[in-house]
Parts: sequence; C-alpha cells; structure tokens
Amino acid sequence: MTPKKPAQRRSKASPGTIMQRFEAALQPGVPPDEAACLIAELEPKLPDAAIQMMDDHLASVDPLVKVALIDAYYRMTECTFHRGDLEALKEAARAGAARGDAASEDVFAAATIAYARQAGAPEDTWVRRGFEITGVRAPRPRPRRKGLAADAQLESITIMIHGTWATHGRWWRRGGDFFEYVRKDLGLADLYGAADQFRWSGDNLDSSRARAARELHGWLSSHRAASVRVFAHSHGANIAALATHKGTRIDKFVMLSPPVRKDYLPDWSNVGQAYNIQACFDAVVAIARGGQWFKDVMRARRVTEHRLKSSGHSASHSPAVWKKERLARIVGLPWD
Amino acid sequence: MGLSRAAQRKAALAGLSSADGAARASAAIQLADAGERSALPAIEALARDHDRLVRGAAAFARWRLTGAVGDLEPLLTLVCARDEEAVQLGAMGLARMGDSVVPELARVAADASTSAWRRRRVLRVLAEIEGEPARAALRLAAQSKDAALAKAARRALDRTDD
Repeated sequence: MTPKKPAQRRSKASPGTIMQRFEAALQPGVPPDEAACLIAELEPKLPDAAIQMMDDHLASVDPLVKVALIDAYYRMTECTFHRGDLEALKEAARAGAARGDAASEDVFAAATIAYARQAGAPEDTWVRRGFEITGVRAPRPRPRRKGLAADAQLESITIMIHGTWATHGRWWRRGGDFFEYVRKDLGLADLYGAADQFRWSGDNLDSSRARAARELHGWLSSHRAASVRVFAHSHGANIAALATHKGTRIDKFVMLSPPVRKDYLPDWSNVGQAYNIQACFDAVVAIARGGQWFKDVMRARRVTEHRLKSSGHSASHSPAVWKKERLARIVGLPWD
Repeated sequence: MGLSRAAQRKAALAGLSSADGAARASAAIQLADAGERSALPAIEALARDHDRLVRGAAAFARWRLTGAVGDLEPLLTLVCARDEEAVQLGAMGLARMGDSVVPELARVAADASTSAWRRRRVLRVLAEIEGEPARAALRLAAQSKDAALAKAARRALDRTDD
C-alpha cells in the first residue's frame, strides 16, 4: 500500500482528535467490527498522517480491520488500487467465504464491496463479484436448527432496509448501531445480517425503487419464513410497500420516517401490523414530496402512527431515541 | 398530525424561527411547496443560518418560490457530506430542481480542480435527474479525456439504464 499520488485532502476538522480516535480504533482489544465501523466513519476526516499509521498496522490487525484500512486508504488517496492490495482483498474474501461464522461473513462482505468499488462495478453487484473472485458459491450457510427439514422455512425473519443514498451506511448492517440495538436490546435474534443481506442501489428514482421492490420480493422468496418482520427507513419503507403488491407478506412492518405518498401505499391485505414512526420535524420527508402521516392520505386506520419528540430524518433509527422515547412499546414488542 | 391547511401554514411560518434546525428546514420547504411567497424574505434570511441543513433547505425553497437557481453551494455541500441525512436532503433537493441545475452540475463535474469525491457525487445526482439535459451532460462527461471522470460518468449512466 505505497502512496503513489496522494490527492488533496478534504478535511479541516481537528486532526488531533480525529487521529486519536483513529489510533484508538487500531488498539488491541477493540472488537474488529467496531474498529472497522470507526475507520469507515473517520475516513473522510482523516489527515494524511493517517496513511503512515495504516501501513504500520496492516500486517498485525484482524482481517476485517485490514480490509477496512485498505478501503479507507484508497478512498483517501483516490489512487488506482495497487495489485498487492487487490490480492489482499481477494484473499480476505476467499478466507471469509471458506468459513461459515458470522465474523467471516463480515470479512467476505467488506472485502467484496471494496473490490466491487475499485473495479468500477455497481456496488450492489458485490455478492456476485464476491462469488466470482472467491470461486465459491456462497458463504457456507449457518447450521440448521435440529428438526428442520431441508426445504422447511424459518419460523420468522426480521430484515432491515436502508433508505436513499444510504447503501454504504453502517446503521442497518451487522455491527451498525441500530442493527445491534434491534438484535440485542430488542431481542430480535432472527434479524438477518449475513453476507447476502438485502440491500438496494439507494438511487433516488422511482424506477430504482420499483426494481428494488422486485428484488426484495425475490429475496424474501429465497429466504422463506412463516413470519416476516421489516424495519425500513425512509424510501426503504416504500420499497417494502411496493413489494407487498407483488405478493410479499409482511407481518410486522415498522416504517421509520417514510415519505408517505399515495403512489407508495402498500397492499394492506398483505400487511399485518403496521407502525409509522415519524420525527417531530423532518426536512428530508418534506423535500421527498411526502407527507408524514397515513391518516392524511387514507381514511382507514391501518397504521399505528407515532410522532417522536426528537427531530431529524435519522432520529427514527437512532438507538438513543428508541431508548429515550420507549419505542419498543409503541411497536408492540416483544413480538411472539 | 391532521392539521388544517391554515393551521399547517401558521405552524410552518412559526417554524421558520424555531430553535430547532430541522424545524426551520422543513418549514422552509413546506412553505415553498405551498407557494407561500410572503415567506420569501424569511427564507432568504435562512441562507445565512448556522445549520448547513437549513442553508440547503433555504437554497431549495428560494428556487421553488422564485425559479431562480442562485447559489447551489449549500446543496452541493450537503451532497458531499458523510452524514446520511445531509446527503439525502442535498441529493433530493437538487434532483427536484431538475433541468435548471444541470448546467451548473455539469460544470462542477468537468472542473478538474474539484475533488474526485465531489465530482462523483455530482455525477450521481445528474443520473437522478430525469430528462434529456442531464443525460446529455452525462454522455458528454463520459467522453471526457479525464479517464476517471469518464468512467464515473459511464457508471452514472448505467445506473439510469433500468
């Protein structure tokens, strides 16, 4: 990872504090998923001095952190990938695919996303790219629970869907704050976070949302479960709503700050219990030509609607807001 | 929830001077979408707000009320941010401004002195503006001698080929 052509850095943010946080992330004992998240978060603000520290740590860190460092380095410098680093990413992806544990799946996902990005491929093709470069079909599936027939469906599955321009966000992925809050604090152990977790382009186009709805329907058809629960933010909720028109059944539908629009109303016959959590004030919903409340666009009371005391479009997927405003009770948790 | 139109207007006008940035930003957008021209002076004052979300919302709202594009920097700043909410507001605002912002976005994308990150983001916004002018700008960028820009433009064009 030799710097070839360091580009101009964007950051003017207090480099001392940023560097200290970066250094702390690389200390022994920091969980790899936390360190990787922190590196991704800090990258836009990292000063050039971080490049040397990246080089120094590459040989001695966990595979997931190593992938995060390589990815961050190339985003910082905007250089073309060095062949050795490409090989390192491929190797990490292969190693991640060869094992079946959750940590290895994270490495596979992180490495193949970085690989797709540097190859100039659309980043939502990362799973296919991953299979190409590792030469394996897919990460080994988790062990089946005893007594479950090969073609049997799961009892339940919970999924999280991000919104527009949020494909690279962390909050909805394993290791992300809201993902872990829902899985651990809210006790939804069936929250799906494997390498092939559903994701979509995040493009702000009706056609992209329609395409994502088709893909979600297909994804849920291949991840069959008797009960489907969805946490979906912003236009991610509208994608899930569109999928219900294709026959997708959603038993618990938690919509987080969706732009409520008549053209994105779900097929209610395929929706069990629905919840709409909206911020006190939300400029993104306003600019998305959406309303906040279903009661303003339809007469039937099919949705439990709740207005937060907090404001901002991201408030509805903030663990702090969920705790402070006791939203678990609003959405009827615990679920059976 | 469930306010009458008059009550919504009154609440939005009050929102322009709220201590909450999200309230000021959403009030500006709502009033602009409602065509509330009497709010224009207050919205123009928000262009100097300390909150970048509010400045972006004010730039959009001013265009909505007057049709004049003005300074796009507040929205471009949001698009280039790492904060999810900022990016969403900037990208959606510029996309709604549509053809009127295409020349300026094309100029930024072609400006070699601009960071590659900013140029890529601008190309993606162009890809989300439906219509021939944006497509033409992307096709032009795809033929650039700047290989990185051309590649990013081709990727942006691919995104719209559904």
